[in-house]
Amino acid sequence: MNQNFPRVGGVRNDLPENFEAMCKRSIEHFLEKVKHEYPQIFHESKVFRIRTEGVGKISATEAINWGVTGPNLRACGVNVDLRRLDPYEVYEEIDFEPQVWHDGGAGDSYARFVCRFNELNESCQIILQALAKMPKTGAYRVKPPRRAEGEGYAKTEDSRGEALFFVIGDGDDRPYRVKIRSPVFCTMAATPILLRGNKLADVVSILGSVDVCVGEMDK
Amino acid sequence: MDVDWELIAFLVLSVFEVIGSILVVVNKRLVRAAFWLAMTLVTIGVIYLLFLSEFVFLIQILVYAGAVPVLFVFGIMLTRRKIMDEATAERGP
Amino acid sequence: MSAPLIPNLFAVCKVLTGAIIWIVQQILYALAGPVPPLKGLGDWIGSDFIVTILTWFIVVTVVVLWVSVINLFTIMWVERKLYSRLQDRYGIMISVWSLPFWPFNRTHRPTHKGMGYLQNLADGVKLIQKENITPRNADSAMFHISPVLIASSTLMVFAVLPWSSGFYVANLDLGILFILAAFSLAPLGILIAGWSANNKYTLVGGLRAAAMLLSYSIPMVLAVIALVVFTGSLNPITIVQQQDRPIVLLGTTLPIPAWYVFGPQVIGFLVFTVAMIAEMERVPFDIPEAEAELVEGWTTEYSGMRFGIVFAFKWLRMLAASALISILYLGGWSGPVFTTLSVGGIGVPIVPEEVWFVLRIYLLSAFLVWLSWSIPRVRIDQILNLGCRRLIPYSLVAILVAAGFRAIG
Repeated sequence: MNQNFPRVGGVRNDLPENFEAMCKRSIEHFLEKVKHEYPQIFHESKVFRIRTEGVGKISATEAINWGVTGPNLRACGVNVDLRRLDPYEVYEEIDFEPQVWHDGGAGDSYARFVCRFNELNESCQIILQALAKMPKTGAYRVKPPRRAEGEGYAKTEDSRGEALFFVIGDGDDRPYRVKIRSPVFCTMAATPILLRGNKLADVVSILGSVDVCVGEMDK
Repeated sequence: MDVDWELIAFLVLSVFEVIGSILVVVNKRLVRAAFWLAMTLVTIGVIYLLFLSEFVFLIQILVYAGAVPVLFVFGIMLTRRKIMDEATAERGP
Repeated sequence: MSAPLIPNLFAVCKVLTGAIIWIVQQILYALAGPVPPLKGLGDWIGSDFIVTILTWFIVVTVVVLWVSVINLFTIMWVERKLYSRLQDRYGIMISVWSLPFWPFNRTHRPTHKGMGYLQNLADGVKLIQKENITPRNADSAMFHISPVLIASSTLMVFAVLPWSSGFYVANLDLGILFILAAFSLAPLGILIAGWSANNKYTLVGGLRAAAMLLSYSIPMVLAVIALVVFTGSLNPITIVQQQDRPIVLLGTTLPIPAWYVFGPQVIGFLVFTVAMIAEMERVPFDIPEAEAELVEGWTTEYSGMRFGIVFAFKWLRMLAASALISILYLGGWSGPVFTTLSVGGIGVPIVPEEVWFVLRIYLLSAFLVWLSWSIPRVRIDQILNLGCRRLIPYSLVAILVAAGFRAIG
């Protein structure tokens, strides 16, 4: 499943009415489950841990060399988060903590899972802060510049890594060149390191923890 | 006509068993040979049943038909890679 | 304390067969006017030999086919509904209201909102009308014979499994051993199925299945040995009879029945249950048929009714395994008969043994289903690790404990 929807010029429609209340209600329900129910299902399940610990290890230097980014890199102990290194949009004003695996050395499926799991909580806090800081009046709709010239570059820290977008327009209504760095594509290039040495049954565990979305890889 | 059913049953089972054991040795495909071995061993077990020893029959099924051919097939698959490759080249093991 | 509804299945079926043969005989005698040889045929049908043979056919049909298959459908329904409700969804819903003829095709009621009992029958019909595909270069003879092996080794169990103290086809003195031998024929069929399909992933599934089933047969048999030290007999009816009394502990009679699970056999019970879950290839031990990894494991290449047989007989093995666990450890069919009606001079118990047995089977199956759908799948080397390094020592400890208690008295 893919979470980014790139659109030249910005988002098309305004948020629906009553969005803030619905959002807060969903987050409250979700956070309750994240605090109580999900750790019981995952962290305390012995079977889950023996399936994911020690499986699909990748060291920090190799991850950096192969272009692995996002939670997969933070699971190796490297504190790299694009939202902190090179903040874009309003991330400078939002107070959050990149979730890094602090134990050092483990780049296995369990570490990736734990980093992603801790991000559930952090993301909810980010959303709540953004809702509080959002200006209450004014529209967010931006008319798309139909015939633009020049280059545009956007970066975002995806849930799977760093996604970078580069667009060159030449005055036509279609861009001349679009290049997307898809994080999953680069992470999957590291599969010789991730998959070798493990058993066939671990492929599910590794690819699930790397969060492969084939549609996104195909970009 | 007083037919000795026990003798007839014994003869039929023996024919099955001998045919099965010949097929084990003659067959070019190793996995089929293991299957015929399983059939031979089950037939021997039924002969035990004919001699009214049910316990030996059940132990024969439990051990021989349940475990030994499986171990044979494991042995075939884990060792004779070259034979398996040659066989797949011709027709398939 | 407990009484069966049908104390002697053979006698009841003989009465039934006698009635059928009498009707056929009357028809034949009526027709014997114009055609004289039919009278001889009618006499021959009524002879003891034919009546006995037909009674055996009817006994086998009733017990093995009807009781087992109806229980199979019900257990499949229970499992599919239970795991759907665990996942907070409705589950299977095709029932009589989906039939396209009157009185079931009411227009104001949606067809897919029934109880779901007929869904399995509908799935069976769907599978029958599909094409049976044989992969190219597959070992054709063995590909076709392995569902037969799996099915026949599972059905053999029901020839020996009694449903109460009178409802059985055959009461062998070595009944439990027969059932264990039938369970141990399964790895051969599964390995042949995985091998003959000419597909490297089914081969992986078949090899994993054979390794797992073989290595879990050992603690299964060892746990039964620990039990036999106590019971002294492998006859299922004797084993249940021994559990039909309350426990006598140090001279005081407790109100707890003397099921073997309440005694020193509890280690054996746990070992046997875990080994049976592995023999049934249920999650957490269903790595041979791992759906997320190997499509359908060793059953991938089977289509149509062959897949239906292999798939449905997994539940039949669950039925047989639950029945075996409840006979050996949970008291089988013993349970209080609350009252006994008198119908035409024959005493009919209100809650007969069959009801207690079926209740135990369904409760145990529901527990196993709940367990299956809550725990993730364990990897094959971890399964074999568990089986060989943990279960076998526990079962040996169970034998020692049983022998110790028996020596003390």
